[in-house]
Amino acid sequence: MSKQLDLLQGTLDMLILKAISLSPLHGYGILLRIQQISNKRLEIQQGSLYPALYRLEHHGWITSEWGESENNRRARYYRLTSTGKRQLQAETERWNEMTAVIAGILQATPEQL
Amino acid sequence: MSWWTRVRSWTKSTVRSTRMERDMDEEMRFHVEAHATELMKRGMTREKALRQARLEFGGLETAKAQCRDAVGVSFLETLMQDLRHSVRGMLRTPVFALTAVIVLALGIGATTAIFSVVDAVLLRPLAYRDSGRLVTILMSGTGPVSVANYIDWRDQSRSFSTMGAAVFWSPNLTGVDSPEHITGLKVTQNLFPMLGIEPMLGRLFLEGEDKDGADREVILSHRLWQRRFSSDPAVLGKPIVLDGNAFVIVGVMPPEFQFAPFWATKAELWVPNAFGARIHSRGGNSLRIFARLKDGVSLTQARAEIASITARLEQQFPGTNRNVVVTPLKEKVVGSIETPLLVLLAAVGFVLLITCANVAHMLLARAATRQKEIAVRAALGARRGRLIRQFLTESILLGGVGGALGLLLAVLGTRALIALSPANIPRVQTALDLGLYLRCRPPP
Repeated sequence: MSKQLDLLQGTLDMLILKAISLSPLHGYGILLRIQQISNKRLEIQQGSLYPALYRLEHHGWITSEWGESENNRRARYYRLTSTGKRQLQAETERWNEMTAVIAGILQATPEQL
Repeated sequence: MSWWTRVRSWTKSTVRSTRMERDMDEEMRFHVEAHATELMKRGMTREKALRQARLEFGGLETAKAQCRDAVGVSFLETLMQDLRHSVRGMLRTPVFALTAVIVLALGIGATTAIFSVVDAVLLRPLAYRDSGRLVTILMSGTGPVSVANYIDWRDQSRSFSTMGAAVFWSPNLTGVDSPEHITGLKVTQNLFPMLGIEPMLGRLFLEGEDKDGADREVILSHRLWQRRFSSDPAVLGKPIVLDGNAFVIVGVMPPEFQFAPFWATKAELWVPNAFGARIHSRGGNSLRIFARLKDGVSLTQARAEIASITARLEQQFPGTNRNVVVTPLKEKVVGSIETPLLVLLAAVGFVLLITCANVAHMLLARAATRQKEIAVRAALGARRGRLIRQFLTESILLGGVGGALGLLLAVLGTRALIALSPANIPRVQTALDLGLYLRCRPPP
């Protein structure tokens, strides 16, 4: 396993939206899901997860309700709302565009100019 | 983010802020414990696993504070905080707070009381339809008129859509449990339609009901109906005896109806006025004339016309038509009281200005002594807007308390003014109507 990468500023929201778009999750579950998909290559400050969740809920992109966890404990599950779905789509598109542009710039060779 | 989401989030965080705290706590604890369980599966002791989990989570309180920030401290919470702070500040400087509140209360109270009276007496239109077009026609502007003159004016003038007359009449009400002397008016049939008033019950007088022999109907005031007929809705058609003659009740007026507005103001019943033999009489002046200007006719035009008609009649019947004056009804009602009341209003207006200046100075002086406090708060990270907000909240608190106390004083003051006012100030009784503070209904 290679060294963990620091999360790029402003991308946590997008990752959270993506994680819970697959299925409703509690906070810890979101952390595990992101780590699992990324092969633990992303370093996520666990405490920073919650302010992000509250912010997203405040925006109306996700909602939450209390439910039972796998080991029968009360846990708060987050779910994507329809505006959240749109938001995720918009952010994904923007991200793809951004990475394409940046990749293009980084791959530029003298001949192209 | 739509405003609705914003509001919902606000209310959520305000109304349920204790719940939010509980939720946050439970949620983060769950996280730490779930992570610890995970770590224990890798062979750590429970104690060690918990410590490790907490370490990896980072500062719990910092995370919570960030959550609160994310939702935003609610408007109400900040307001409560500022109010609490303001109250504490006032209690620390009770002399200042008390002085400011009393000064404000006196200023606001005096102004409001006087304004209530001015509003009731001067500003509110008379409670008749399009009352600005109503005039009175009287001898020398005050005296009554003879029947024959009224009929001539009515028939010869073109400036008025209607001209009606009323005469004072104070009959004995008998035939009920206790006889009573009642103030009333005999009115021509066209008078009430001219005022544009609808009865609360029953009907107005019909055409022909002010002819001789047909004039045996009576319309009651709301007060008389309550007082003598216990608000009986079946009162219509019942007979009552006035001065020994039987009358039939045909209508009851609404509670706010008052006629006439400047004389016989306490009239409680109205009957039709049949002129009988007096139709040719140019003596025995008893009628007060009320008229409505025709659309498009100015007061000056009406005055000119009445002047020419009366000049002609005066030649025909010397000594009967001298100095006939057309006065707008409002002016007749308000009359000589207008200027003194306006002067008084201007005076208390200045009192309010002085009050404001005083309190402003007091606040300024106080702010000067609080520079240290302000500096500390600024140094602790309070932004400019936040400081201004705090001071505004304090001022609003002062103004609110002063205003509330002032309103109380205003009600008492208005009562006192009504009690003290000479009997000839019209309409002052209505100054306490709550409508005065919250008037939003269109004028009748």
